[in-house]
Amino acid sequence: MSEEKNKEELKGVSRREFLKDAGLVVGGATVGSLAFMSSCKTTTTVTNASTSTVTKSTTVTSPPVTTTLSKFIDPIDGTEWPTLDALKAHFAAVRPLAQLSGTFVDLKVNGADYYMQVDDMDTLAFVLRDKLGFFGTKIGCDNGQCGVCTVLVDGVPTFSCLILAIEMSGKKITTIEGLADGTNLTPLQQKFVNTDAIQCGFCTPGVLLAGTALLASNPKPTADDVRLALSGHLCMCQNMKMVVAAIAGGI
Amino acid sequence: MALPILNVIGQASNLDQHGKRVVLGKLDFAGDRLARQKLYGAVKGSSIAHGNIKLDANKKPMIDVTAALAEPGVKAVVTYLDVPTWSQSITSWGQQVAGVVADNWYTAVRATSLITVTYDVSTVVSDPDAAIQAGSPLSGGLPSSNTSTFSTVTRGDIAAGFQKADVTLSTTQPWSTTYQHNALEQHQAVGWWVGDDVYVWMASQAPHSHKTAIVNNLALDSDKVHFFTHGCGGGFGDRAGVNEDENVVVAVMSQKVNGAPVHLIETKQNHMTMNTRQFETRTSIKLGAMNDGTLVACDAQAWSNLGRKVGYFAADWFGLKNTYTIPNLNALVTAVVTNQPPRGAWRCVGDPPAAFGYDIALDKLATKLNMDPYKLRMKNLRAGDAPAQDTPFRVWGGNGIGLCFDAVHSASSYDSKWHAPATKTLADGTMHGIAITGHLDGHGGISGASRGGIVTMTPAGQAFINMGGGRATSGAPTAMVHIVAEMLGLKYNDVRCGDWGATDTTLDASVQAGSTFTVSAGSAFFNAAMDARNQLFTAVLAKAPFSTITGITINDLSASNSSIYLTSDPSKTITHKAAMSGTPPICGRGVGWGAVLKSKAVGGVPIGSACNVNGACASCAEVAVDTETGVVTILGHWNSVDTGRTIYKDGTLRELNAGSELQVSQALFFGDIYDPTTGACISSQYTESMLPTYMDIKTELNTVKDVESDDSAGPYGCHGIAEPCSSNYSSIICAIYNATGVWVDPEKGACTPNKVLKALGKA
Repeated sequence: MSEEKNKEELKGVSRREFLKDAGLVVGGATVGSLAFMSSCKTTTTVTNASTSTVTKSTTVTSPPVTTTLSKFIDPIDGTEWPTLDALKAHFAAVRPLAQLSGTFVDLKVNGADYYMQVDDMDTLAFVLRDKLGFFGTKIGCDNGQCGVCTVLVDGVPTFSCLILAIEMSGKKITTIEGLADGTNLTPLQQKFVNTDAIQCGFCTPGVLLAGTALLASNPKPTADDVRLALSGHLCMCQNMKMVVAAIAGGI
Repeated sequence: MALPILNVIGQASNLDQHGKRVVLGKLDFAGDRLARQKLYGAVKGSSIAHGNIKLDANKKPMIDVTAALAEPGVKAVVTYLDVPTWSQSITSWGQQVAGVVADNWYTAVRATSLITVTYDVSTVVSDPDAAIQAGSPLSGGLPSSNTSTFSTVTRGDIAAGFQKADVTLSTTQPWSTTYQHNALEQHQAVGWWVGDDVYVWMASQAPHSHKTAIVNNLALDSDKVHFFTHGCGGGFGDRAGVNEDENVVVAVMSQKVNGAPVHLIETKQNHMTMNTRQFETRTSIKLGAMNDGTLVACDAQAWSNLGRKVGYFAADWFGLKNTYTIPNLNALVTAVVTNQPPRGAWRCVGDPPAAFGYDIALDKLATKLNMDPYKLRMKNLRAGDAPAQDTPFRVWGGNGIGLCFDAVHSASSYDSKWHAPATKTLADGTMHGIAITGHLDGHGGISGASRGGIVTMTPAGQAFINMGGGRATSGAPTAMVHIVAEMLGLKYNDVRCGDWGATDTTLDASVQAGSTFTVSAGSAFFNAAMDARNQLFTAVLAKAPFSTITGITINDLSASNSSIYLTSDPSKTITHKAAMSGTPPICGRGVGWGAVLKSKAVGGVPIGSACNVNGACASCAEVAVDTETGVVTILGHWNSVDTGRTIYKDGTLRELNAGSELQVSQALFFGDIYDPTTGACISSQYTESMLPTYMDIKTELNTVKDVESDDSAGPYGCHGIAEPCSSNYSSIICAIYNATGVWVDPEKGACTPNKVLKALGKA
């Protein structure tokens, strides 16, 4: 995308434009995010009915699928089993009369399979944190305004507080814990450390995942590209300068 | 003046001690524990802003929890009768009245809506202008009035001063911007009981204060309360122990379910309607000056809306009183109590709201004198080594206000850009404006012996710090590591942040990320490291090569780069690792010192004398204003802050960036909106409180500079610098005036385009 083109798009969704009509403020963050998220899938046109049309046409190469490790967890007592059959046998042995409610889903998180029972109303964020212990996924507003709950679903940044876990069966989910190889940081993670692109750290996991997805589709993003990609993320510490600088230009 | 380079302090290569943990998603926050092993708590806020929970004929509160308790999954309900920090009396909308414990958080939240509360409703006093009128209904925060004198200073002869003045200017500024802290992490805590002991994890800037609150409210022995905090998703004073009480509430909730772990999470709406925000301030100022711009008199009054109770903070005339020479001065602050959420500690403490008033007054005076406002400020700026103008007339340990003004004036090329108001049109038809403001700030004080630090040496010759503070918005633990490494002569990476935020194993370092932390906790860790250093040096005197040198004491030794050496012969050396081999454990303990000149005399005042310790800041804003749309575009903003001495270089610059961006937000984005009739807080979502996104601020236009005044009172010359002072709010407002020739009324919010158009008479 050209710099000039990008500026036009940014102008169309900037907050200052919206402030004349507060009703458009929500659209600012949403359109920016949708435009980027859509860009990771295919050629897409996103129309902001009140301001302008944003067209993105970048194709993304999906991250390579890593070796699948099988892990089956009893959602009640937390025990882990090597196979689904083993889990079922454990269930039958321990709770032969248990009346199961909710739905079994197959969550593929950070390269591992978790076949587990969730309540139908459980959000992906809640399940990742409170049933699987991936606490790197944060919950802030719990309604899609702040971006701290962002995870990658099949490589696309997604607000996990707005997605039900039962919708995620079979999807490849990457949380912040899944970026690094053990404690070996990815280049972007290392750049965040080296350039102090962190402050309190609460927004960092979501921002890092969104930045990772951006670099996968656009290895040399401009600062405006970064702002657009992060438009659905808030940073109340307001360390935005360091974050934009860490992602812009690539790694 | 360039300060000597130290081995560790100020080195840009020193990284945040917790950086890797953060990017791995391993920095643990309060709610990040006990997956699958806990219950959940939620609270219910009042649906009225003023009144009481009604009592029935039997004097029982009319709170019906039947439906909530019948909800599947609900384990317990609490009301104000259970929670000592809650009250039957309601003085702001959203005040906690009840809570639910359930096996799922969403169940708990839903069950709170099933609780019905009957109120006796009183008249809502939401508008501060109405609250200060004679005969106004009472808001209930004070016994017989809605106002209270907060502070007053009188200097010289105000009448004589104005009589002498060639020019006078009177101006009243409407209410400044108020805003919520909007921290991203919810207010949350996890608590459980083991026998008579309670364990609480909570997002906290001040763990020892939050522990004490549990001890006091639940009447427990101190050794029965174990409080912990690590990561803290935004502080800003919102977790400083002023208004938040989830530490007490979660302990009560867990008691109700026989000590089982409970994870209390406030909804974002709860968080944003109940908790601390900045106080908006109205000012009325009369200035008297000679024709050459010399200020001779000032009569300044401020009213600060403190919400539902008088707290610790209100507008502060500190900058006006101390930045400029004004021989005759009245400065009064009146607190106004309304039925709005509490105001309290917030980023940049008390100065910006008042600075909004006096900076505008100075610019108006400059216009009247036909002067460049910057030259008017320089004409009256006090010298850095001059004493305060009010009793007890103390000097500052370090006062870099002049250096701050110089820094932004030079970096912005101000002299080549400034023009008379509304006289420069840019090529695109927008109006150009520029302004510089600044002040000596109430930030950066030093808190004395109320702060403590612990330093331990390991057998491997490394050091660990135990810090009784949280990790909120800055690398405060990392700053302490710098001080300890420098004092012990260790390489930066040989000092690690050990435990922090656990009250059982630390001394109180007070409010992390508070404005005074670096200097106050820093003085405690300086002393703790000194204690450890003395023990270490004493131990090495018995080791080779020093054991064979007669007559030497620890005063003959020095240390750097993780080695200890004889000062007079550096070839006689031993590594810290070798020094600790076979040496009994070393633990250094220290408490902070007070505000006294320690390293040098200032302005003829000798070492050992009491002094002031504060920061200073200046900023320049350059804007373009579209007079057809009202849109203000930042063309550049430059911010300088007197750090005294920059301890943690990257972290400090990070904070300066953040403070600067924050005040751009205060000037152009934030809003905090209330229904005037019901007192309901309408801005209970991020979008409604107008947080800027990454799209809204051109961060590369933000330039910051750390100015080092070498404070005599601070360890290694530092000031407190977490959440630094900043003057961008004023400079942006003044720059808009320079562009348009009109003053924008922020109407308790940001200078949005429609307000700019309103000021221009176009809306």
